[in-house]
Amino acid sequence: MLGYTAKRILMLFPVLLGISMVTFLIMCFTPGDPAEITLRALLDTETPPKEAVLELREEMGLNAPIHVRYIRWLDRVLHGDLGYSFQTHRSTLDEIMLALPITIKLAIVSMLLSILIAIPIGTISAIKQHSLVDNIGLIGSLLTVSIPDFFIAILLIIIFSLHFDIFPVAGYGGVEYWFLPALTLAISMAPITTRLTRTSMLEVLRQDYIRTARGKGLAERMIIRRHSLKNALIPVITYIGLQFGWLFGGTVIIETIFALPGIGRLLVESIYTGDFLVTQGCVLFIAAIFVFINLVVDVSYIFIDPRIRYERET
Amino acid sequence: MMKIKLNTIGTWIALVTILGVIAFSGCMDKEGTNTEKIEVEKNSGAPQELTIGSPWAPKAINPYSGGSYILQRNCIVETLVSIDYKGKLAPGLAESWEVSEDGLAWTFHLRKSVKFHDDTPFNVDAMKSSLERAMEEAAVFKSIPIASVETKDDHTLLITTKEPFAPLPAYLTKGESAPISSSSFDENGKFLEPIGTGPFKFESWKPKEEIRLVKNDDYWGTKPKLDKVIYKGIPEAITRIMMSKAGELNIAQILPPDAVKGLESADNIDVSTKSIGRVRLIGFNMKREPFNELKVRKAVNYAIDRDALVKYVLEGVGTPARCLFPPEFYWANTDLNGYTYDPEKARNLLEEAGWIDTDDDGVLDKNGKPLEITLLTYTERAALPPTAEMIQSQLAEVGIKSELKVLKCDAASEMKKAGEFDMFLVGRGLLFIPDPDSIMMEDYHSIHGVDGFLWYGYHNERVNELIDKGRVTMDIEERKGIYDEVQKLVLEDAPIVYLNYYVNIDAVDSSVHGYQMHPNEYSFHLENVYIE
Repeated sequence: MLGYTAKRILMLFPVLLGISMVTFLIMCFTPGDPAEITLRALLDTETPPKEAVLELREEMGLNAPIHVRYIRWLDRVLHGDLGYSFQTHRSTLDEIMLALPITIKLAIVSMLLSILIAIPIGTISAIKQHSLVDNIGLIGSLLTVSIPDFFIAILLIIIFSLHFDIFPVAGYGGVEYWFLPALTLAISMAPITTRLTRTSMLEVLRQDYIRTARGKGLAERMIIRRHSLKNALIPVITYIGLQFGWLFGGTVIIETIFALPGIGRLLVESIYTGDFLVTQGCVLFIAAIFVFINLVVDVSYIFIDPRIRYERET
Repeated sequence: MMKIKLNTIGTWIALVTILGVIAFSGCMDKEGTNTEKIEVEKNSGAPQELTIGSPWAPKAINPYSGGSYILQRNCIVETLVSIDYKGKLAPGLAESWEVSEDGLAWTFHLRKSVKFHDDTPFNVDAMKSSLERAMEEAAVFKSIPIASVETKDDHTLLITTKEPFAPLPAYLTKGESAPISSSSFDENGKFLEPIGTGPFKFESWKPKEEIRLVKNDDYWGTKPKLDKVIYKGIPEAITRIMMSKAGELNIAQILPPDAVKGLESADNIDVSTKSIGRVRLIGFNMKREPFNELKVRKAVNYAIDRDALVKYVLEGVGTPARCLFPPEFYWANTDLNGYTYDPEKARNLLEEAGWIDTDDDGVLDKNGKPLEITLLTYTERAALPPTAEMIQSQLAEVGIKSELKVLKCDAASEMKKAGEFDMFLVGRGLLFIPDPDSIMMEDYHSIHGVDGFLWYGYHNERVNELIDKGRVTMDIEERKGIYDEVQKLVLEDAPIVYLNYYVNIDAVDSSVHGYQMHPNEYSFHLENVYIE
């Protein structure tokens, strides 16, 4: 297993290289001169002084051909230098380190909330198929999966902040600020997890070994807890892992609505303001996190399902 | 291998408990601060604290790399020259200034008894080093012809330019040139925090979230009444509106027109609207048919119903434009009446230009070619796409068929540079440098027309001469006359359709007084604001 993990970690490098190359190319083919876009955002004017644009082009190294620029960038990254933001003159690493903790907290809290909503509902829906809980779960899932997350966010703000005045509308501070953004994300992530849990659970409950377990007179609770749920959760965990990876960078709308300066917002703002070193840095980080989470998910199967072993292929 | 038991029910109970505690402590915290606030409000004479929410998040606090706007708007730093509410220059840290006969040497008389927030005196040396640093590091100063900055005596600064350059004082309103104390830097020249001369002192900040200010009791001008100001960056307008309704913001800045109705019904919120120096306009591509012809350009000017645009696109919050500058601005030529909606006149002009609907398909044609044009605009400014749609239908009324191209700003400007458009709809800032020279040079002078902002091929020798003259004329009244004439000539040549001026919308808590958005958004003048 150690060998497998090591191999997966080594695989990270070609993956990141490929991703960085693709991002670099996309950025190069996007219309507009990054120096001009940067100054437009920095100075808040449509027409930045031409002298300043020329100087910044030089500083950004835009006068060199694409492949030279990419190699220069790569060289610096390999030496641990991700460059700096042209908007704030802070290093890309500083920018990411300001934003990442916010997104990590948001991702963890919303993931937990989502699991808390999805797995009980999914399990009960499977055990008591066509019951009231199952039907409510179905309707709820359909509804929440169809409503865009920004709308859910606004509804939650109206209910919890304006009407009941329990949580603050937006901002970043104590724990009370995390509840609404996390709940919004949880509500929009939960439906698919719920349905997946239900389907997977139904499938497991029809297996022979469950019938055997029942036949030998095992208590129903025991069957559900030890024999069914654990097996049914394997696909669910894969999906939750993917969702968790998506949360890094995928939460930009929620981060914008709740005024949380997380990594999704950093990425999107860097694209809008021509801050390409920050864009590249964010993409690298997000990709690395995504790959890492996938690895953790794959490794976690071993703990859930002892049949799965990652043997060295010979 | 370790075997983990997934005791599901147990896990859920644990999670529910944890989250319950989080949620509960959330309520407690919130209530805690609430009661605190109420007590503060009851106790009169207690500290006055103002919270502002704005889309401009504080990205940096170094004035030379992206922080100057936030510092200047929040009154931490001040410049030599300031701008009044009509967009005209006014004394700032300089009490007065004059220029030599040849227009090359500028003398600025600095205000005495001004102190930085660290109690060091503001003098000509501090001003000189800040200005030199700005010229070295700030992008906005790269294009101005300063030859030297010298000190004459303790409160007299002498700036010489390489050529006569009337807009110089206007450049000295830019926040990058504001003096900051030498203690803003450490011994290695690394920036620490902004120490300026303004009515508010910098206290702390969280990047991209907020800046906290405290009042400067030793301020030389109007003494600030607020004790503390918290300036928050809230990127989403809906969030600012809801925070304002929930009482989390005293001032929610820069809101969309559709917010006004909802806010007016709230009892404790006033909606403050104010014209700002920005105009929506359409530039014609004068290099090709059909807009190389004056009559066709004029016809479009008459065919557009500017009142309807304000009423339906801007929900009534906006002012139809007559000329380049909004009428409340000093530089506006208020004698001009612009073009008024007259579709009959538009049709006649088009007919005179030879465009007649011969095949009865509703679209005019000339020599067998239908009158079809491309109207280009971009999505970044929310009101532009619906404005374009409405103009499309207004033009159809007089027989002009238009194809809309709505792109991202950068893609649209590539098309504009390639000349692949007939009409280009933009929002144009007027007083980035609070002097007409920059906008005149960029948009109306033909030497810059080629790679200037509008790229539309306007050329009028007389306009060129006047703009050149305005640049070297030092007397402000005389310059006003020059730019009045330029505005008149441009209106006659109709290279542009002026549509409407931007109106800034802020939601202000009824207890807040003295607040007004500045027409070029350069300072909030918080020293005038108080809570009652």
